Amino acid sequence: MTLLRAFRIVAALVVGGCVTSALAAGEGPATATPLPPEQVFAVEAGRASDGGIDLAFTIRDGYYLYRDRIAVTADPAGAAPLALALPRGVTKDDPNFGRVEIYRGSVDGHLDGGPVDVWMLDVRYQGCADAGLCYPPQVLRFRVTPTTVEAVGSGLAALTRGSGQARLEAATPIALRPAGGAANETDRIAEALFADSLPITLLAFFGAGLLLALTPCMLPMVPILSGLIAGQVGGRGGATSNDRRRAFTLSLAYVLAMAVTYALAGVAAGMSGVLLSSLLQDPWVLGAFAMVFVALALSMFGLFELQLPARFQAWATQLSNRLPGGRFSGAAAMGSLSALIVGPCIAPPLAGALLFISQSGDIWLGGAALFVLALGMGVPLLAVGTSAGHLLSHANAWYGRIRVVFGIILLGVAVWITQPVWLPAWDRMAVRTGGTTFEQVDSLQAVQAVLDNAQGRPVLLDFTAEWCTTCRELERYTFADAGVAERLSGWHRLRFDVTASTPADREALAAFGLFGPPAVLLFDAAGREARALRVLNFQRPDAFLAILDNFEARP
Amino acid sequence: MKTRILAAGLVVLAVAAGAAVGIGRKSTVDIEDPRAQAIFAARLPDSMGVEHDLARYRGQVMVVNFWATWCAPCIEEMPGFVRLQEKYREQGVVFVGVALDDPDTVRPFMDKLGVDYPVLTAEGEGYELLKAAGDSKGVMPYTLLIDRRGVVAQTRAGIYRESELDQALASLL
Repeated sequence: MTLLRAFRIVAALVVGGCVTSALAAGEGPATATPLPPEQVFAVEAGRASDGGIDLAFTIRDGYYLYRDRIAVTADPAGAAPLALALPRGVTKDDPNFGRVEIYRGSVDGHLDGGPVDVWMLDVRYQGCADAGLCYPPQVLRFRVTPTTVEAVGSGLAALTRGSGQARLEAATPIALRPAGGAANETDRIAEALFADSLPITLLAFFGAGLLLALTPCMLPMVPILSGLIAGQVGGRGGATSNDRRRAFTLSLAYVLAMAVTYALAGVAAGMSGVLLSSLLQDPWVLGAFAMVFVALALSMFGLFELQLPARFQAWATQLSNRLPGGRFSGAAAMGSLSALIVGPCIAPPLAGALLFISQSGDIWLGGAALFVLALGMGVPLLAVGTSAGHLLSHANAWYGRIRVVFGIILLGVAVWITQPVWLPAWDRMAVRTGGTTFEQVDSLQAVQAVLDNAQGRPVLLDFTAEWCTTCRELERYTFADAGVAERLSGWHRLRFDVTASTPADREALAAFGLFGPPAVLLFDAAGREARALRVLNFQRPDAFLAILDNFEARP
Repeated sequence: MKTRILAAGLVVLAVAAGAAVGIGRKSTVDIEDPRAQAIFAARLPDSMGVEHDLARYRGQVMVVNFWATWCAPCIEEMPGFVRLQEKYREQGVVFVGVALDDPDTVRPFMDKLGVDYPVLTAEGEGYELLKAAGDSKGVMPYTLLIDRRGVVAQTRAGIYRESELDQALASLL
């Protein structure tokens, strides 16, 4: 019966872990704090070769612009014909407005030139978010001269094209990063925390702690705590109520110490302003923690059986003897240590909490929040600790068998926490082994060289970066697709990795008027880009093939 | 036994400290909430052109909803508001719409949506009011819940689902 129950507990822990990580990875609706409009919509304007003006709208994933709410006006009036040519949009069936045309990703427009040399062009546009909110109409003013069009009086970056050569007016490389990724997830957690009042915040932290307690991250604490309690309580015949009480108080000392450690660490991080999350992306730090988990797993498998648990117990006993307060200090010391060990495993929520502290500037609130978070994490441990003392005094058998399961899960945790290190490498390998292959380029000149000497073949230029989750999706699902690879076999396929964000990377992004990856650009054999067909978000293989169809069907 | 009491005492102390900080914070934030002040200071015409002082609703639980006729998510949530206004009317809840449009544009929407709570219009100055009410980016829909003391209890940028708002209102009554 006890074995069955133990299995149930483990199963619940594993499922809980999956659910929690799924929740963490999911794209929550952007209700808390909406992004400022300039991070959602970008407009560039430039002189077209026919003397008119080209407009290029870039729209963030998850947002859209209404076609019929894009309008242009001239100052002085009559400076230009202002017949704005826009492509057909995607039809959106709105229950209240009927069928409306919208744009996603990007859209290019064209204006004919006029008789006046220097004039002001106002571009109006309005859009909404899929999450269920709309931005007020935006107006951008451009100053038009016979050779240039530049944005004036706004904070937006504008690409100004003279006749022929590209010139960057102002660079905002981070403006249009795709949603998702660790940084954004962290921001969202921090935003969610800001929206609520203090009691709700603390309650939310406690709930988050409870959820975290269900992740495999907390598993290392179970054997440590059980070992402690077994060392102090077990070893005699039946469990007395005294034993249970002692097990409970030991667990409580352990959990409270853990909570205090988190609170102190959080406050220290908040005051020093050190961004722990960036430290936790470091391969060496992650590797070190992964090794701790592997070591714990091996001890679970019995490799360290003779030494490690004995040492833990000896150490705990030693501490108990040395410190005032007896064995409770030992449990407390182990609690603090355990908190540090599992820290990297729960990095995203911890980083969110730390960001919250640094943004709110309220050290006490941040400390309290982390304390409450850790208390939530500790509640199940209290239950486990108390019952472990009880069960262990009955029989050690179930625990011996369950240790193998713990060991396997611990190994899984080790793999999981090093994910930021191996995932990009894995992706690069996956691309090499199948699907579309790319020639790596690292400068605008290299791209230009291929464009100038295309030898009758079209050119695909793929901007990517390791942090770009959408790029990864494109690689995994779209470029890896056999049909896509086949279709692109006759193309020059260039890949530009801008992870390092070198001056050459930024120059290339700017030259094409991009804010960052993902971006897939298509050029014909003469080196002319099909701007309207730019891919700036994830496209499934069939959708991407349709884009290639459009590319080939162009006049 | 002693340690147990000590530990329990620690927990109680921690909770009490948290609550004390929370209560202290609340009172300092709430006393002169500039968002509520901005709402109560507004005087706006309804869709028939009649001017209203928003201060007249002070003392009731207010749901102030900023919207626009071109904003699809705004239109989507309004039927729920109509139902909730009906449900809570007797309990002193008043919905006030503020449309960022001119009266002529708003009027047909009132009939179409069956809105029977006051809807005021604000064209140019609407955005100023929206910002003063706490919506710095001017996104819509934007909804504020103001309690009987005239304190902003909640704000929401984006759709307010009927069930969520229902719960929020119930907690204020």
